[in-house]
Amino acid sequence: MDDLLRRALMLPPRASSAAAGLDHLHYVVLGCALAVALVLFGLLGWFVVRFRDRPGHARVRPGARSRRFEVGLAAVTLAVFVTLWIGGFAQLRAMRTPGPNALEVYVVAKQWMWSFVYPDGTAAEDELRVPVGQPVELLLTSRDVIHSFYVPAFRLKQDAVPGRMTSLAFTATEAGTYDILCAEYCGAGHSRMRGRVIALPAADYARWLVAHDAPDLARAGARLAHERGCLRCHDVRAVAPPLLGIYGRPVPLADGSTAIADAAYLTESLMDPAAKVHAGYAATMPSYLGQLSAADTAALVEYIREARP
Amino acid sequence: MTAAILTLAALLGSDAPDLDRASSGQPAIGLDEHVGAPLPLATPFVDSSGAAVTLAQYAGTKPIVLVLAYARCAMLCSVVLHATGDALAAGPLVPGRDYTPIVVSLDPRETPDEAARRQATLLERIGRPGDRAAWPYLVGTDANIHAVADALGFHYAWDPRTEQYAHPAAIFVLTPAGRVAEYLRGVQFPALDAAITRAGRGELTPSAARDLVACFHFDPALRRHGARIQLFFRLGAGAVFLGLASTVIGLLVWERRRRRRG
Amino acid sequence: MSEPTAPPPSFWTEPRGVRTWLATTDHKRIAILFFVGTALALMLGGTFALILRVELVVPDHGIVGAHAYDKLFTHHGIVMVWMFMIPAIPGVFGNFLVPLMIGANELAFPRLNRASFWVYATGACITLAALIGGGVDTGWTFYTPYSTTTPTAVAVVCVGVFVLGISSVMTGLNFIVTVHTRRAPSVPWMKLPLFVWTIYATSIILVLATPVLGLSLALVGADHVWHLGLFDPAAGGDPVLFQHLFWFYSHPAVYIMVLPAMGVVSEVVSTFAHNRPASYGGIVVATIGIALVGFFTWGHHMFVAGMSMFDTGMFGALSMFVAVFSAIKMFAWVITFYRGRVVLAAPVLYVFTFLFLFLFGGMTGVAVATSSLDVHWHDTYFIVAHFHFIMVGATLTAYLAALHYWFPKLTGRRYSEVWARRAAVAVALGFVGTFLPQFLLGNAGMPRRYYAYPEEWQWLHVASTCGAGLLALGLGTTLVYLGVALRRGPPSGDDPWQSRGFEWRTPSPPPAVAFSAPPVWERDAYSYEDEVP
Ligand code: HEM
Ligand SMILES: [Cu+2]
Ligand SMILES: [Cu+2]
Repeated sequence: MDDLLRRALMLPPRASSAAAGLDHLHYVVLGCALAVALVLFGLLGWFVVRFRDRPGHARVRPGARSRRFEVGLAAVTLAVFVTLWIGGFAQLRAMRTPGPNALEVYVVAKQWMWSFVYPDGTAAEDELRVPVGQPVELLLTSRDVIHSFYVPAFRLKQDAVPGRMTSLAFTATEAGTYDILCAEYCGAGHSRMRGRVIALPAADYARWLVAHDAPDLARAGARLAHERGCLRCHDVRAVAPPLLGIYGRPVPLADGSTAIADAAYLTESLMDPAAKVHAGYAATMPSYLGQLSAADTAALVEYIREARP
Repeated sequence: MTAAILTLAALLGSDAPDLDRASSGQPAIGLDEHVGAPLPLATPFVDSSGAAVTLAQYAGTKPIVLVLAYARCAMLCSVVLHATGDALAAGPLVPGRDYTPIVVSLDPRETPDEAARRQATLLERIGRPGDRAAWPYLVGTDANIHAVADALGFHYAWDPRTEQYAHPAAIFVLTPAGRVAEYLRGVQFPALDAAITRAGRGELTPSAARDLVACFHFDPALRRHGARIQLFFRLGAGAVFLGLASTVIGLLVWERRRRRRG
Repeated sequence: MSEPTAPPPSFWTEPRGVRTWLATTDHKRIAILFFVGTALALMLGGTFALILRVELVVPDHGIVGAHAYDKLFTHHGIVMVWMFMIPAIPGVFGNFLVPLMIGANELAFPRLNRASFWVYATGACITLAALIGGGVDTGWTFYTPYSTTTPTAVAVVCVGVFVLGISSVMTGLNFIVTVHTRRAPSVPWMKLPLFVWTIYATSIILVLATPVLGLSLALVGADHVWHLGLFDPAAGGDPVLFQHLFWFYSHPAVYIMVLPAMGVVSEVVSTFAHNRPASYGGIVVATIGIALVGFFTWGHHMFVAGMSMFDTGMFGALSMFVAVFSAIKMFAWVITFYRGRVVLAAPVLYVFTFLFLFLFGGMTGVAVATSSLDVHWHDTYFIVAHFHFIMVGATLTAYLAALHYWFPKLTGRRYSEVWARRAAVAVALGFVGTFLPQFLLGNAGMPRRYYAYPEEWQWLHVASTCGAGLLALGLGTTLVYLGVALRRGPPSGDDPWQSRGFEWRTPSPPPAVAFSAPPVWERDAYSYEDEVP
């Protein structure tokens, strides 16, 4: 039944953990629309036939207006809509929360291709390989105009905005190859800006990683950290928070809140350091936006992740 | 391994046009070491009391510790200045007696007044409050500051977007004759005393490290244009409001008069 | 056919001469000028659309190249939104009917009204000049930083749309002042015809939102010319800020288009059901509610642009409130037929189409406002179908309903009812045929603004193009029989529909000066009670 509906509505096969929930909410909303349509147009049809102008049609005085009825009808409608919204919003929250130990992959969009950089330094163009069953978090940005990373089979999309890092969490559930489309108009090559996600069974993925002879990203990151002078400040407790062992830990922020030092936080700290300032330190860190390539950024983040005191 | 990363970096980030675009308008900043180069000692500056001075006045017998910084810097300058001050105060050498520390402001807009205020906090930090001769603070014209910076290989630039100078974080130790003896990079200078001693003997010491800490705040999304766009919309809204209000009132009055006449 | 009788003197002929038309300050003549302008825009925009649809029959490279395609959909959007849909109902029917419906001889500022038409014409010419001399390829949404970096004629189009916006503000201002100051003593606020209420609400949005569009486009134009980098992240700008500014206007703008359409529907439903609208008060509250709450939902266009969860939630929830106001109207229209005397004629057929498009357009709006579903649908053909149903379909069918309903009022003649019904059916089937497949394409994951697409979607595109052909046929037919009726239609009499509307209490077509003294109307515009024994 589920599959029949999915096909009838032309929805693509489902390949992510979010897809089934979305499709089911889709059916519910569609069901509501059809039910309302049936009732309203049924009534309309009946009124038009029953009260149409014809010889001998005798008019009857319409009943008195009832404010109770009107307000009640509006309230019920609102309740239905708000219920749908609560369902959708809860679903969105769940979709946006990356699973535990998510594999972080950097995605850089540009006219008109997708580049991916893995934590181990592997890079690929237009082809994203992910292990089935493992949560993945993509960190997206763009090098020119806005693009949007869209995988219909996952039912997911996220804009890649230049100068910003956005993120997209998913877990592939079915091995296979799925289209990546660009969903934000980006110029003449927009419709050809396509790529593929290849979801591999975990074992195949591991084999692919090994076969790929991944460069040691953390070492490259360590070298960069020296070259770029990161450690000039981050070695000195008085100037900047030490980097060793910070990964994955809660960071107290100047505004009183707390952030977890994950890849997204670290990337933001590199690109827009003033956005979240570590409590107790002055906002003296320079921004590396436009100075560090995506590969460099991935390497630095990997270095920080590996660095243990 | 590293080679792979480099190819990758080239692939993703550094192939010229795009990175240029991303960093376009970002000033070229850097530090070329000119160890042994003579400084233009005759360049005129003004000290914090407003008196005309030259660097030559401080040179001759004692080594010099030179810092290029500026008072309005929102970022690393104060960190560098304070670190220099702490290093100066910590060692056995006495500023003014064994060597002369000097600040030359990067910012030609800085006045002797501002210099005096900034100097006061520095003097306090090294425990010599009020003793202006202990750590002179000089201001000058753009051309003169550049003359000194160029001799040092210190490349900095004005960034109109952030209204800040982008510049490397480093300080310089000069021989008594006014040649560049040593570059100290970063924001901590534990080796300062040793460097001063070496410079006092006229030794030139190229540094081993080549890394660079930049004092530069690239200003991403919203920070800068946000305020301008907001102002534009405020003014625009005001203009629209005035325009509409005067149209309505003007036309109402005019129509009324026309009707009364006709 | 009976020999057409010489029409009685009316605004059409008094005074005579082309010059008197061009310099006219008569609201009825300005309405006709706006009709000519918006109808030309509809034909031009429709031609662009047909080329797009024909191109999409094949999965890749049909009759135009990719870059030409990008320009065509941009031109289609710009012409349809700013030259047709925004001015269509207020400019034509608002101008013609608002004074007649409130017992006034003219708008508050007749000269401002004349200026608003000529400013519209100027803006349209500037825009068209830019489209002909190079064109733009940004989409009608002008998203930065694409729009500030593309080498096409962005700046000139921004100027053109800016000027069109000035015309909108003039029109809106005039209606607001007119409704406040020119109502005859027998038309107090709560007796205003519902159409006037919607024009009033739309005018508020026009005056409040259009300047934001103007200022935003000014920034884009300036940035394009002088490379200020205002929205360019490499220069410290924020591209998403532009989206906020743009949608702060453009979301309310969809209500600029659809509110007057709702007003038309309220009038037509009441007249053809021969019944007082169910819940006049409810419709008025919903009208004003949409105009106000519509200002706080713009963020629902940016759910996947990197907005925080909190903002996403708020904008989604507020969108639901707007949807409730729309639902209230929907219920009221249907219930108005209850215990009425329903006359089926072309205008009411268009209203049925309107109700169908509005219900499914609205419910798909609710669907995207649930926010999680929008992650899949955003920027796909589903959205294209959604806004074509609710904004384009509703506006177009209401425009056609209005044109047929008030044709006798405007011209004093009748058109061929048989042909009108045929055309109405063709438009309905054509419209649904065009956009129903697009909902499915969106489900399948086809992004909008795609020149080339995977082959398995071809049959849906072919279906959609067939629908578009039928729609074009329906519209073309309308043009023909209405043209014939304009010259040779039999006289209609003053009130051919036996409506109680205020506008029908003057001769049809009205004389140049409709009221010699402020009219005294004892019964309101929906007083069908006397039909009930
Ligand atoms: C019933 C209440 C409505 C709701 C809850 C609603 C909701 C939405 C939402 C959430 C979107 C964003 C989808 C996306 O961009 O992915 C959207 C898009 C749109 N809606 Fe609605 N909508 C409603 C009614 C209307 C009406 C009445 C109109 C016009 C008269 C309209 C016109 C549009 C347009 C033009 C777009 C897309 C614009 C674009 O992406 O270019 N909507 N609507
Ligand atoms: Cu793209
Ligand atoms: Cu909207």
